[in-house]
Amino acid sequence: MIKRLFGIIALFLTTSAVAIEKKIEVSVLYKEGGTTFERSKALADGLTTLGWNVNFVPKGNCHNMLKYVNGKKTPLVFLNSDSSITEVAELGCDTKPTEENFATMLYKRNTVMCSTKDETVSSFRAKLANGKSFKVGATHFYPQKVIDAMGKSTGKQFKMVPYENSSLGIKGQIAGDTDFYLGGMQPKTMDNVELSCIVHGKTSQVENMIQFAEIFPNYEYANIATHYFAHTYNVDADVRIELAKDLRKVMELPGWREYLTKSQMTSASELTHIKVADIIDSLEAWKQ
Amino acid sequence: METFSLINVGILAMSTLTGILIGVLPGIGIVVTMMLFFPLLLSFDLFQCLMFYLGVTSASQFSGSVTATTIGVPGEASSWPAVKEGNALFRRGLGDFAISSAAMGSVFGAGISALVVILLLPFALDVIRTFYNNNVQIFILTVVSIVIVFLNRKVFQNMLLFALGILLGTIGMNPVPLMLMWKEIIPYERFPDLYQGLPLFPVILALFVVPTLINNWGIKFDYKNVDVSFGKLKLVKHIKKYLESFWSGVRGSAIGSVAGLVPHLTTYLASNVAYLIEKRTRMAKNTYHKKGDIQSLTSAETANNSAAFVQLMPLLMIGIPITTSEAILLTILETNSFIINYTTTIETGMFNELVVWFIAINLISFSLAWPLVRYVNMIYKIPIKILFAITFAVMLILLGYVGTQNYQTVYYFLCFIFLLPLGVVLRRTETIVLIIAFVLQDKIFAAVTRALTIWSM
Repeated sequence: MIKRLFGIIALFLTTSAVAIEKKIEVSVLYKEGGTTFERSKALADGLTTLGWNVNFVPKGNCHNMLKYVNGKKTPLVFLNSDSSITEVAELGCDTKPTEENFATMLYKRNTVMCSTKDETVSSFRAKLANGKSFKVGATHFYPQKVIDAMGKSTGKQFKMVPYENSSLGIKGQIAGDTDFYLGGMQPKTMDNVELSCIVHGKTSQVENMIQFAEIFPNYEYANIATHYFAHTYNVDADVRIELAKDLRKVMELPGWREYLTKSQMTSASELTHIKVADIIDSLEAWKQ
Repeated sequence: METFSLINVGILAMSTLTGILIGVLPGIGIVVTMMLFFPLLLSFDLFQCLMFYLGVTSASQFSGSVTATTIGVPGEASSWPAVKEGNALFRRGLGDFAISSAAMGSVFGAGISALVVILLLPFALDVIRTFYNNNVQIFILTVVSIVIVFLNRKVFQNMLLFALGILLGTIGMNPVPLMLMWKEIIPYERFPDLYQGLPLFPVILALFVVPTLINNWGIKFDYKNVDVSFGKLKLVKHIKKYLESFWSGVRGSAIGSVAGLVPHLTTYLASNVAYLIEKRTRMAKNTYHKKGDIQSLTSAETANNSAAFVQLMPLLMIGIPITTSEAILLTILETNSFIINYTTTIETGMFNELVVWFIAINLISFSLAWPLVRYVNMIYKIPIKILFAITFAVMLILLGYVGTQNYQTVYYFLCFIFLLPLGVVLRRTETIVLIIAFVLQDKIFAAVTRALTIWSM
């Protein structure tokens, strides 16, 4: 009897040592209202669905968040991306991932170039061939060099017209401010009836569209994309592995699945080959 | 009707009653009301937010003229003609006709403006396409800025206030252009929240609400001598009396439908311009009654309600606010990730439904505001200082609440405390100029930045 009791106690202790505490804080680098905030909330909800005890703690800006994670030692995860790293670096925030805090890739958003309504691949080509200079609307976090490289590729003049957000950029394109709009491959560009999105940065073919490389020879940013990943603080290695597994499962939940498919994004399961070093490499493309 | 539900009927009733209440309380206008209801509005959907706003703005126009007529105090700025003509009519025993003509004129004005907008809708998309053009944006922002600066005769003072508003707006990170953060002066490192800029809520509270309350602190009402017993309302007699002012109402409605689109001034400009034109026309014909002119009053009140509807159109169609209260409404909508433009409001059919609710709001306001005059005395028996003290206390609680909702409670209070002395110093000025400049700053800078690129090619 005593042996059995000791056995049960030993088993309990062993199990307790192995089982991880599924408790995490989910934070955001940005204030409420933007896509990152909304996606971070969806990430928190997904983890809750998978049995995690989640506390959602958005901090409004990168300085606040870094101050918060340095001040306490509770495990925390946030949605980070290469374009975001370079953007917050302008404010003096270092959010580059390391092997110790990178959890998993989540999804990749490719770039798309759109023209006015009813444009086709051939009319788009003709527009490029006949014009001498072009105004390209893009959100402020797209570096000037991405647009300049189009000029280098074609020998024509390409100038960037900066917008505060993608909605304003799209409206500017519709209103005739710009010749083209460069932005993320997402529903508001792809599904917009007032736009014709013709050129894409995906490595695979998309119906009725062409790849950047086909229209801009030797274009060095032909596959520029935003890589979204889970960045952790104060999370032990074993918990991080478990968290990464569950985050990839979150990407398969119906709401997330629909978001990724509708937006033509590349999902986590196709991005397992991307490591920290690859993200660090991709920062160069996003640097202003 | 897709939007017909008990909840929406409840919101309609709440917004209409709130509008009627704020119309009779001077110093507590639509801006303050939007701030008071900020947390509740965050739980509403797009349609409900718009309906609430329409309810408050429209209903306040009805009751505003009631207190202006009976007591001679304007509930809101657009009721000045009612103070002048309505109160004069009231003093010579024609207050019932003054109120009924104003109320009927308001309903008429609301109906006409809705009709005008519906008739012009087929051209709306082209207008919008053009509107988003950067050159058009620059033109509109320039005109708005000039109109605001030349708001009154104190042009130099307004220019300084405008510059101050722009300066306050440059605090924080502006995405386009990425500059003017005043890194050497502003302690960003010590208070990282400053990177986000100054939040609108504490800015309006410290620089608009507080000065308004201070300015109205000493107001006294001679309510004891007010006789508000009108006896039985004789509708037919009142309608006949109103019809004598019918064409004045038509003119007022036309003026209101245009003036309502002038940024910031909207109902204020509409009622005053309509009043002045009607008065001058009647003076030229020697028909103007110096001791209270019912036609001039009707024209102003009709223009008022036409403008109350039309002023919402830029926000509904292109997502651009033209009044401070609309800017607060837009902040609420953006916080909830609602997109407001032609596609989400007009193409979805939401606008048509909104028109139906708008008509209902006006009919309810008409039914309530008219007999409300009997109870005006009761409201004014509450000492105004107590009313203001309660308002201020609620404002502070809301500041904490909104700050907490944004995870920046301390920052919101610090901003408020920091700006409060400025609000007190500027209490005798039109701080609305400063607020509008603060709201417009990023739009002006971004449009100029883009123009420099576009024009260079």
